[in-house]
Amino acid sequence: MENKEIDHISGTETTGHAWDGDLKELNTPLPKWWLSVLWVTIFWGIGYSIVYPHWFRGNEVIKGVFDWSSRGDVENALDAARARLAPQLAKLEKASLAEIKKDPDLSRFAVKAGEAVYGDNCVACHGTGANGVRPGSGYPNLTDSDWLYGGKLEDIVETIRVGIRSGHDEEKTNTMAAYGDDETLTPEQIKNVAGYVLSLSGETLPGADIKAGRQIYMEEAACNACHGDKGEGGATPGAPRLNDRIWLFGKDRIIDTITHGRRGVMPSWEKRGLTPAQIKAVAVYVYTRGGGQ
Amino acid sequence: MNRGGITTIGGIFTALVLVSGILLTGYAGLNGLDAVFSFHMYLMAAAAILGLLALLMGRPYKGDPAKYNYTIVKAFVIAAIFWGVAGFVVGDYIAWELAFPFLNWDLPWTNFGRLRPLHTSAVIFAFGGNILLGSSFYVAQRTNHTRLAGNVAPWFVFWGYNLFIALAGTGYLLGVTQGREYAEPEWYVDLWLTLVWVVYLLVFMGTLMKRRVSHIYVANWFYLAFIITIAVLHLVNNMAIPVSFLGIKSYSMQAGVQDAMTQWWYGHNAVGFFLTAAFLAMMYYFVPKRAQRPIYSYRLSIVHFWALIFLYMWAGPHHLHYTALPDWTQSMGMVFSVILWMPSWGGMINGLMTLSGAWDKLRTDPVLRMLVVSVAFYGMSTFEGPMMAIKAVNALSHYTDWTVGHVHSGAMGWVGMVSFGVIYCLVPWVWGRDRMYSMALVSWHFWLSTIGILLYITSMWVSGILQGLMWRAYDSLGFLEYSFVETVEAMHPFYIIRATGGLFFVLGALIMVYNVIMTVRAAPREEAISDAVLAPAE
Repeated sequence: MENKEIDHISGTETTGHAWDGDLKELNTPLPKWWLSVLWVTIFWGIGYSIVYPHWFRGNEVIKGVFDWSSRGDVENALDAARARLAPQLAKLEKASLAEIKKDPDLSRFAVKAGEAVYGDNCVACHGTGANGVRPGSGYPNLTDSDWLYGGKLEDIVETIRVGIRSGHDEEKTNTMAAYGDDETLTPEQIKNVAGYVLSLSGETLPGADIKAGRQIYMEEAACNACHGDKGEGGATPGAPRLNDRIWLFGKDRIIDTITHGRRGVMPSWEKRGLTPAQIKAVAVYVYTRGGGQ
Repeated sequence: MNRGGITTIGGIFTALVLVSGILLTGYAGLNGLDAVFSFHMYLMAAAAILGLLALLMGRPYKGDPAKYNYTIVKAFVIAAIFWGVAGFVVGDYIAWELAFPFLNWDLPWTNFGRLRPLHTSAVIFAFGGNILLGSSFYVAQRTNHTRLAGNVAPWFVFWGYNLFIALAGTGYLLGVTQGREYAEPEWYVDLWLTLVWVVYLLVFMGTLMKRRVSHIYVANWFYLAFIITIAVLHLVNNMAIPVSFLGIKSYSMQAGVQDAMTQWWYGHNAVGFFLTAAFLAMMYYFVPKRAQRPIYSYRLSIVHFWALIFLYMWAGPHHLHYTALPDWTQSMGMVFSVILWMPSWGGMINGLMTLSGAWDKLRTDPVLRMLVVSVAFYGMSTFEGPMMAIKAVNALSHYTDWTVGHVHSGAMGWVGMVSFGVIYCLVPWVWGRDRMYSMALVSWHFWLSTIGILLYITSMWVSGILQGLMWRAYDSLGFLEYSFVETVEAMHPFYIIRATGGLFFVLGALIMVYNVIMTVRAAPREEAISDAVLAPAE
């Protein structure tokens, strides 16, 4: 009971079935190019599965004609990359910081190597340009001339190596006390001392008694023990300079800082697994970003 | 025909299921170990109570047995449009979030990690699923010359499926996920979907079995392959053991690379059977119907159907190239993906060549234009897919935005466009209107979507390839040229272009909503389209 008919537009016969009134099918043969490409891909697939690992003998994978493996591929690529870097890395490993500074080729290598280490490990806190994530964020800007733990190349290497409150045996731990939380100072005293600190860089805090603030700075709270008599900082390592316009935790957060204290953290990159050469390199990179001393 | 009350055995059975469901979920809700679980149990209990009331009022029995069941198709079309707009809006929102991360507002509920599965599930399962289920019920009735099997069962499928979506979506927002891509809902939602899906299979099979034509039209094979395979995929990929039957958390029964392989066997076949086979089923009915031309090649439809069904199953490992997956499995995934190229194109050839002799209709019918462009995007994505499965290409493309662009050329270009085309066909047909309210607005929707999709995929091509090249770039001394953060910064302009493309797509969908509402509100045709079941045929 088939009603095969010729479709007038294509000249092809229909299969003779009709659904839902006018829904029909032509009996066009498979397009030759389509079938050919299908066979080509099938034969290619068989070939590929012989050349590359695919089949089994028992529980054993047959390795394929070239004994290729993706793990081997990675190892070869890594070996090639290591071989390329090896001579210069060996030089960097042995060279002292002074020697690196003197040798322009080695310096250039160290900066590039350091940039790669920096990009993988340091950018999250110190930013892509090494200028901190944003001013006052608590992440030091490495391009300015303020150095909490010293801006000489040797100091930078040491800071990167041991970190701040990092759990390393030689970690640096100086903290800013919480003068409000531990009730050393009253809120009013904190305001006064904040006003005094701001005045060191020519700023004012409305309602603060600068004279009383100075008294607290020099005596009651003895801020000068760490930050210096004139706020020049660095009387003990890690104490920021207060008489410039660079504010690690933000100019508008000084009262907050005095009240609750600050305990910034940086990992020890020795503990995190950077090699001595990598630490040297990243220190050179940081040193060249700006304000190295 | 409303006789009031439950009048069939199926209805009595459903009532029993609903009553025990109310007791079970009520108990589980009262004793739930976490708040979200209790909330979900109460939601299910409330749905079951409403279902039982509707059943007692005899609502599912209202149709005329001599006519096609169009009410169920209407419900699915409305649900598809509703979820579609929601899914597109969320998708575009998270695209802006990627460009401007502050838009997550530091809130857990609006975090990218929670909104992303909300977007994918809303567009794939809610929008795509509703249009697939709805169109399958339409096509099965029309091409088998019989009314849909069952009275209560189709409505159980409709409300049950949409309850599944509500459970999944609210779960994501509240932080419930089992962390499997495109299979995020937890064990209790999976069990519910299993029940719904089995009933769906029964309704579809029941309709096929009472068909009044001798041959089964090709669209039905594709729908059936979709229903059966999704059931298998869903069951195997969600094998998990709940920590407690009164809490949300479960653990997968497999571990490590086997677990990953199962997940991507599922993931790739969700693409193959949900987003490909099932949408091809729609193509096989709506393209020839709209173009009023016979299908180009019956033989091609058979050969490419079986080739597609067989080959898709093996291609999943290409999602795990260059991972802990053994090399032999990766080789296999690559080989089968490449061989899959022609079987996929079989559907494109049949779709496009069906138009020979009717190409002039593209000038006058924007709906047909949508259908044809969707088939073209299908062809492009199914060429791009095998290409990206080649390991040398994958080494560059893997983990980049190129993958995201590829997925969206398939999802927006193929799945989205073909669904819009089908909606524009179905709305006038099932509501008995002459045509859509405005063909000009259909045309606007067509162009907005097309431009949006092109912006999306071209920006992701450039961004993805750029990203891949930046990751592998070495400087002259042998160090990596860019840090990861620099590659992220480089993506920013492309993320803005992508999000703008998404905005075009959303606007198009909103135009569709207006057009559909105006069509439904318009006067019915003077000479009503008959929805009487057609006479038996050969």
